[in-house]
Amino acid sequence: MYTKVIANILLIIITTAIQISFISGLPVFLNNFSLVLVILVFILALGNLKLSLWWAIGIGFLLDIFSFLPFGVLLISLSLAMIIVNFLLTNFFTDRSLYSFFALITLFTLFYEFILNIINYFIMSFDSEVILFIINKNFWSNLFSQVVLNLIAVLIIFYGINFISNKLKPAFLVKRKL
Amino acid sequence: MYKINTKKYTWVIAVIVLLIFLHYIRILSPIERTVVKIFNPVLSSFYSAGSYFRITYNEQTDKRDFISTINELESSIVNLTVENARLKSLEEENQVLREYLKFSKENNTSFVLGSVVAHKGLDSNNLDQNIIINKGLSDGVEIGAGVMSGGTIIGQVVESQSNLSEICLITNRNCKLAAKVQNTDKTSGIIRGELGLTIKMEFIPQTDVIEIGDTVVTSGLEEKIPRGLVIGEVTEVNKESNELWQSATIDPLINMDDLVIVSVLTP
Repeated sequence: MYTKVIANILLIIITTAIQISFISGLPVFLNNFSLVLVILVFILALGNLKLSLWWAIGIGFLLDIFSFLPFGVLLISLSLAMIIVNFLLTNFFTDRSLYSFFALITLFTLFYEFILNIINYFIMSFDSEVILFIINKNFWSNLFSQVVLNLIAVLIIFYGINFISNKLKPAFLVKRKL
Repeated sequence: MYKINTKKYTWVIAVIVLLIFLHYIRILSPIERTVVKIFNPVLSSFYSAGSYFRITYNEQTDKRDFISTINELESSIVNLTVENARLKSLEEENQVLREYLKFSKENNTSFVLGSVVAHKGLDSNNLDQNIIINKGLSDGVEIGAGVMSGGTIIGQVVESQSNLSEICLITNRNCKLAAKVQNTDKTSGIIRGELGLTIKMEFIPQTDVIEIGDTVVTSGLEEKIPRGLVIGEVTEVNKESNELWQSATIDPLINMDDLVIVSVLTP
């Protein structure tokens, strides 16, 4: 059990470090990729809600340490978006098909960015120079590129998992006469 | 009816509230400082790896401009050689005058080197260029201090924690510096970044003469930024006779995408 906990902590640390530094250093457009959201979606779909929420809390905590936004903004945004996506997964996108994953990652990205920017806007609204993110075209172009990159990553990982295991393959029930 | 189990979210909310509370009453500060200290070398390595791809990509896209850039540089070398000779004689003259008037020695500024660990904010709404370096308050970094790279000023410290600092680059529209153009009129003004690519100086009097190629330096009016630090060169002058003011576009001398190590000026 302790091995699993340590392994999960190490993977959380590596994922966060890659997101904060490696991805932010990539060329323009590619640096909008959100590895954290993609991994969380797969953990939610393949694991369970409890594990994915612990990952969300761990990653959110580390991101908040390295962010200059008010502490807790990223943690709350990630966890809240995770809960909403879990609701969608259990009530709407239950078949775990590729299209379900596409829908989940798109909605996860949108919810995460909207929640994050809404919280940030209200906290920063004391500063008169803050522009509402909805009317900012850079926000939409960055969001679009983030969604596109996340979808490509989901496609690659989905087929990678299908190649290695049967977890995401559909199971058909065959009616037999006894 | 949709399945919603609020009970299982109670522990999540409790953990999040507890973490935020412990952070703001500073109980988590030692843990956070330790995490940052342990992470900084790892983040620097990861950032360097990512930067390698970015720089390689930029080099490929810039190849077609190399020939025209080489031609421009060759003609600049000639002009700079002439300018250099003139400046050397001025420097000698200046030295003599200083000795006569018994000027005190110019202060030498000290600095601390920092590695860039992240290049942008962690949300899509970070419109402009900010970088995060692995040096902070415990290393002598102060908010408002100038940040240099390649002999030119590239930004200003806007936020600082004990081991991390956020630098607002001069191409960021939120970064404003007091600057001076090295022209005959010694035009002064405030520069601000534009579109994350270039810098603009606005509200320049129409009577001032600014030419393309004029060097723009810091004017020394900022508390923690000495004067004379090169910001960039004027590449465009927008002067309309029916306008009250003219404006100038300034290009920084180094590529902001290539920043890996920077130096922060310290008192």
